[in-house]
Amino acid sequence: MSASAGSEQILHENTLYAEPVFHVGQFPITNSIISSWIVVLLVLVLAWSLRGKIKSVPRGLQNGLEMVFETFFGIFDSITGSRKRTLQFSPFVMAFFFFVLLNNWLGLFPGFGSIGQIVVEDGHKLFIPYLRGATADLNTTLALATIAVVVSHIAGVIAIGWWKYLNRFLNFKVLWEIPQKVIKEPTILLINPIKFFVGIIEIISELAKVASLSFRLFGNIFAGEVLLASMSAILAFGLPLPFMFLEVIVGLIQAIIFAILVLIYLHIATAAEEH
Amino acid sequence: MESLVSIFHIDGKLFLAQLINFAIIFFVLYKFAFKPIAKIMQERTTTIEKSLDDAKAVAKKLAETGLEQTRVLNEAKKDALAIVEKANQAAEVNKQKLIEKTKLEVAAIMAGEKVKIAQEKEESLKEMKQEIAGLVILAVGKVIKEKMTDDKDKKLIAEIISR
Repeated sequence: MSASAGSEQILHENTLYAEPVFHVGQFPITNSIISSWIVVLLVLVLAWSLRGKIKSVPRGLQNGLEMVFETFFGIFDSITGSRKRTLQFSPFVMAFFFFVLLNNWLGLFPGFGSIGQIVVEDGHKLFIPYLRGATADLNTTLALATIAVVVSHIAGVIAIGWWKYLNRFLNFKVLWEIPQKVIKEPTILLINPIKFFVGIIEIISELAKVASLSFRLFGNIFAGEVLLASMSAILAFGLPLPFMFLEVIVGLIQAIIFAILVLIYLHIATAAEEH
Repeated sequence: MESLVSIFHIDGKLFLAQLINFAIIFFVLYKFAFKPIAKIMQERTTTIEKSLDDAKAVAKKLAETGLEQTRVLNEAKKDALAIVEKANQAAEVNKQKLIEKTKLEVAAIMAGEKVKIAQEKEESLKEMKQEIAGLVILAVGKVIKEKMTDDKDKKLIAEIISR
């Protein structure tokens, strides 16, 4: 390495996106997908360790999981209003919880964002970490939010039928009502077009759901990483500790919020409501 | 939208990879953790509820048995009292009968004795009368130094005594 290159500053910035560490063919292996694979592996190992050990008298991991489940069942019951619906939705909702939680917390481990390689790009030396919290990558959160919203629509169609469900968004029923009832109550001429537009607004709100779910999680976790990096830059010893605790709590809270929002979307989509 | 994709490096392949990751997590958690644990928890709830119900039933039964026991005991006591009472009464009757009988016997004996005594008294009186008569005859004979005929004598004595 030449003297001029050695004196050059290594760019050490927190990017909004996850950097590819290497490519497999056309597929970019980013640092965030590596860490999400670690999470998948972790879950697989834990599930493997649970295999055949689920007993009536709980022990170890089963005990902890039961406590988590029981707590969530209580919260979910207050949202769904019935234990039956809670049990229907919880496997899906808790998968979100565990996936998001493990990714959030894994991103706080030492080595994340700090161990990496130096790549020369446009004449600059860029530091690319090998690992990055998976939820600090919009690809992950967008994927999660899309699954959540899509599944909530599928559940809605299954629960109340496709025609009824379609009428929530493209309300043909109210349009059809206009010629039928217009003589009896002329005000319908004014009200039903409004109802139809409300349905169209619902479509936009569904898109907003995806955006709000994905950006909330991404924003919180990414901001946490930036915050920790900044604090470490000021003073690496001791100073980031309180913020680390804060991020642990934020990671948990964001996971809970994500899971509960998914449950609420599912609940609203499957509820046979009448406005 | 274009800028969104370029700023955040949204990549269809990565997106898909994360979808698959989530799907794996969901299936693994559902199959190996959620389903068996929820089932076990449900079973445990049922078992505990059943045990509590059983315990309640047992307690109720115990209380019922206790009541039954007291009832039977009370009945037995009552019966025993009745039996004792009856026995007492029978004994009383027997006693009375015995006393009556004894009284009658005693009366009979006493009546027999009285008759005997009266007879004895009469006999002794008769004897005494005869002896006295003999003595009087002797004495009178001695006094009047003269023997009277038996008939006269006797008549005279009888007159004297009965006087």
